[in-house]
Amino acid sequence: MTATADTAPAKRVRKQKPSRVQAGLGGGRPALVLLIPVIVLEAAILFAPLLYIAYRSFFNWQPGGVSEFNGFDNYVELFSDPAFWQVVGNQFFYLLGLPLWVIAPLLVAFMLRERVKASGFFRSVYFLPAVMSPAVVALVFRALLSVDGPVNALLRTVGLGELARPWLSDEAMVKPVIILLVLWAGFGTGVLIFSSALSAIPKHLFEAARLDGVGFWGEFWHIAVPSIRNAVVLWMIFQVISIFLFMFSWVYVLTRGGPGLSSATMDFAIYQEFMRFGFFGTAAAQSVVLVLLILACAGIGALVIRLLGRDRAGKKVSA
Amino acid sequence: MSNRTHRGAGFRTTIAALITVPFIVPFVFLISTAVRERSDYVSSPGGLPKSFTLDHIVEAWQEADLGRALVNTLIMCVVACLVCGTTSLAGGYFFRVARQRWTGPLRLLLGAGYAIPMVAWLIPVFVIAAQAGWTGNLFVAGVISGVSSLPFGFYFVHTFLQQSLSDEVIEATTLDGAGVFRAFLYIGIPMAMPALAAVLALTFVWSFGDLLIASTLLQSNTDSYTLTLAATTLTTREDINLQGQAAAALVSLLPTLIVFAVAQKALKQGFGGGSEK
Amino acid sequence: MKTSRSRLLSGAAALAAATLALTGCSGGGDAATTEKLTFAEVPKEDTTLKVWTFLPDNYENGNEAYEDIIAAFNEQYPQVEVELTTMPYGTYWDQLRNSGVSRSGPDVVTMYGGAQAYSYRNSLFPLQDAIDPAIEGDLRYLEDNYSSDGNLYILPTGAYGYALLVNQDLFASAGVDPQTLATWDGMIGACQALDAKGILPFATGWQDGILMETLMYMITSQQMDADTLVKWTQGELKLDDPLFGEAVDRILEMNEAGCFGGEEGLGRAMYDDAFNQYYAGDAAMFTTGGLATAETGYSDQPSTTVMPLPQVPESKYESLIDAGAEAGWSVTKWTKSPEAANAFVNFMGGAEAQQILWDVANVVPNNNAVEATPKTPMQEVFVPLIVNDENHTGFSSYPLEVLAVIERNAGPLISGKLSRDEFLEQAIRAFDKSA
Repeated sequence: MTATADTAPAKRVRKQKPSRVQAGLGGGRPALVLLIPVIVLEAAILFAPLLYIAYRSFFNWQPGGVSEFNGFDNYVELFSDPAFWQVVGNQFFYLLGLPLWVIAPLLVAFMLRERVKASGFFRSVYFLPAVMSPAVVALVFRALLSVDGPVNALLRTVGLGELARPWLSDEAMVKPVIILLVLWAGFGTGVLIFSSALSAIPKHLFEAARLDGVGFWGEFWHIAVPSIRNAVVLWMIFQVISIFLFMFSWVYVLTRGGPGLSSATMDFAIYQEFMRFGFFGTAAAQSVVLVLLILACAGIGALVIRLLGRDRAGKKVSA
Repeated sequence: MSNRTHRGAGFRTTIAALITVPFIVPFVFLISTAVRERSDYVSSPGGLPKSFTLDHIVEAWQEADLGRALVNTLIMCVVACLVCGTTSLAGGYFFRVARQRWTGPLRLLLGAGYAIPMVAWLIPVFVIAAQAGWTGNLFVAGVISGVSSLPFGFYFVHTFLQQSLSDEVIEATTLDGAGVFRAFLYIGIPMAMPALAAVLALTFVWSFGDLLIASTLLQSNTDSYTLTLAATTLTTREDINLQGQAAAALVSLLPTLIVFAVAQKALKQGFGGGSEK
Repeated sequence: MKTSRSRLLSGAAALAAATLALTGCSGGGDAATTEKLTFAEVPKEDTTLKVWTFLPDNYENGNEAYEDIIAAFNEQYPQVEVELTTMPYGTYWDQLRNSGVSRSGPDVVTMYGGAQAYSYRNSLFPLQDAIDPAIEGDLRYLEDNYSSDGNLYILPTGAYGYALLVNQDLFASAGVDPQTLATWDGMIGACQALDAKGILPFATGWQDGILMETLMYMITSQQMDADTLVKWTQGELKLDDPLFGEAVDRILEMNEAGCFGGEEGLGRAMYDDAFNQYYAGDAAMFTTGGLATAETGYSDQPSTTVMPLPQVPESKYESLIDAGAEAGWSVTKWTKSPEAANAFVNFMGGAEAQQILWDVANVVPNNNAVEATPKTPMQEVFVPLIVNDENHTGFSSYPLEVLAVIERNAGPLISGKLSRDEFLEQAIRAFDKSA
């Protein structure tokens, strides 16, 4: 338990002594120079366009034609479309993959910390998917997962023939398969981020724990995870956002949202509305809804994590 | 080293090696698709290759002008990394040291920039770029690509410093009378190196694999095509040319792997620095 | 700190306002009326045309053909410099959207007619009054390409025709005479016979739904007489008309007869996989719209021939195949040289340009003044099918939203997960939404 005792103060310092910290660390007005680039670039390239899109979501937006103000019509049309709700449902189904996407790379990054030969090589291999474009990934996986493809052939050879499936065109299987593909795609990035975060934990913490006889899982749960909690939460939020925003290319090349709408995501739907159909107004409304939904999810998630964290910390102190 | 650690090492290495299987198999599959004869591929796309040819790679290289595209991509990625790396570092450090009441909410707001769908912000940005005559410009595309990773980048640096840079150290330097910029240069940047390496590696890879920004901002100028965009020229309405795509992917894989290996080295140095303290 | 905070915020607000102002005035709001374009003389001043197209890459020697065409165009209009950019097809339509939003980019673009052009209507000039009277009488498929608002946004060029590639060796090995494909029932019987011998009748991929779309065009074009087609292009014939249900039933009949094999086809996509299936000799037939595919099929499977899809019993024709313009050309509304742009578009439709395309790149013309003499065995069997006077297509009038629904529901319909009625209902809902 020395570990938690050691990491906890850093947090307490922040909460208990804000006045001193404020006085000492602020850096004064000159420090703002460090902040200005972030604000200017984000405001110009990300936030101003969002405001513009939000404004346009109240119009029957016809670039180059007559755009009439139509109040909440775009939103009403969106919410009364059963297809929209099916896609939102898919979106939440995908979120079920979150524990997997977080714990798997975290565990492996922790394992690779020490006592693994050529850990850099392994990290590089895990990172391979990040450098393959979605079009190519789709080519590979559609072939691997096709009805008469290698995966099913392998299942049949080892006597698990009844498990063989049309993985990407079976309504029940397509979402779980995509969850695994997202794990595959993001795994290396997660390992990279967690490795980087783990590298900042002082080694003596682990050494002390080992002298106390704490094993692998004890080190993992009681030292590593609490120490890099911020990075874990950041990665979770990152994954949630990815599932809302960066699924497009995967869905587009692997399934086109099908069969039916069973694998479609919101960013895919927005893309279709905007680029393919030219329904600019409803696409704008859908973009706004998507941003709100992500913020709500991230907010709820952060709250839950905070509550859970408090719970755990409380238990430890009493123990 | 004790017996236990030795056993652990072998065990861990074995697990790590087993995990590589799902990453290596598709990769091998990609290579085999790129180097098979067309007839061999057509008769059984998922089967084992029975032939070998470099034609697809040579053709992809020539038809899609991958050499120039590679240079273009590197220019765009370097600009993106410069923009994202420097601003992330500065912004992340600022939020580590500044603790006014408004910094927390502002940090969250700027971090939330990551939640804005690219389809939503890219179109207005394109409109302005088109009006200003900035389309087909690798530098502009690089800046925009860098900013798209910025909310993640500065937040990650901040999170890292929160853990690795203690208040005492910052206080000590400020008490020494060092100005905020000196503290940033001599304490902030060195401490943030592992995080910076990670941010740069990710920004590079994301920019490298980007198609949406490139196709929106660069498509009007064939001289500025990046690798992903050039690879799309291999596909026509009638022919998807998967083998050409696989070949182009192979060609474009190499530089990213090199960059990643370098980033790994930087990370390792970060590990070393961490253990000394 | 309070002051800098508000300063910061106001700075951001100013930036945002600037962005709004910029995009606001450029990105629409201003009433751009649907001015008409007329065929007029090209001014003598030097001008440059930016032309975007995905077509040259589709053909062998495509680039050479377009260079020749531009040279010929410049003989007639030396003052017009043509900058032709060959765009990748995969991102082409998105690029046109972007151009439309920013009101900038090319002067002339390659475009499909009907519903596709309609969805870009704010970017394109109506061309019905801008066609060179000298070529208008020779052009086929003008009517098929009107949009539902009564405008013709493209000048159609080139010709495609959907037909069947037939692997005669596979037919022979199953003991089936390819001539049975002359009638609908004959084709159904051929499917059953081939299937019973373990030969896949049709190369099949349902995953992207494009095969479903293709069969819908092929069959509904047979069911529509000339008047019905006009109603369909004008948006008066709705998707709830029984003929669409009958077409779906015919496709399901083919499915039941084993035309598409088992569930393997559900996981395949048409362009990625089904083409290869036919090329590899794994299927006896395949639907195709272009000569290039037929040539590849012929070189891989030398017993390949081309035959029409037999007429469904509801057909209004003897020998119609679904055939129409391969694509077309449009003038963008932001062009600075509408007369020169229109001259280029008309030149592309003219006999000289289409003759070059046929001679150099084997593009079947839609201009009756062009001599398209077949030069290869595939051309000998395919070209007569395409230039058949009976042909027309309702293809371009399928609203894009309806196509999206047909595409995504193709797999579920064929696998039986989605009923025929539910399939139609969803398509009709999309049709009503698009109206």
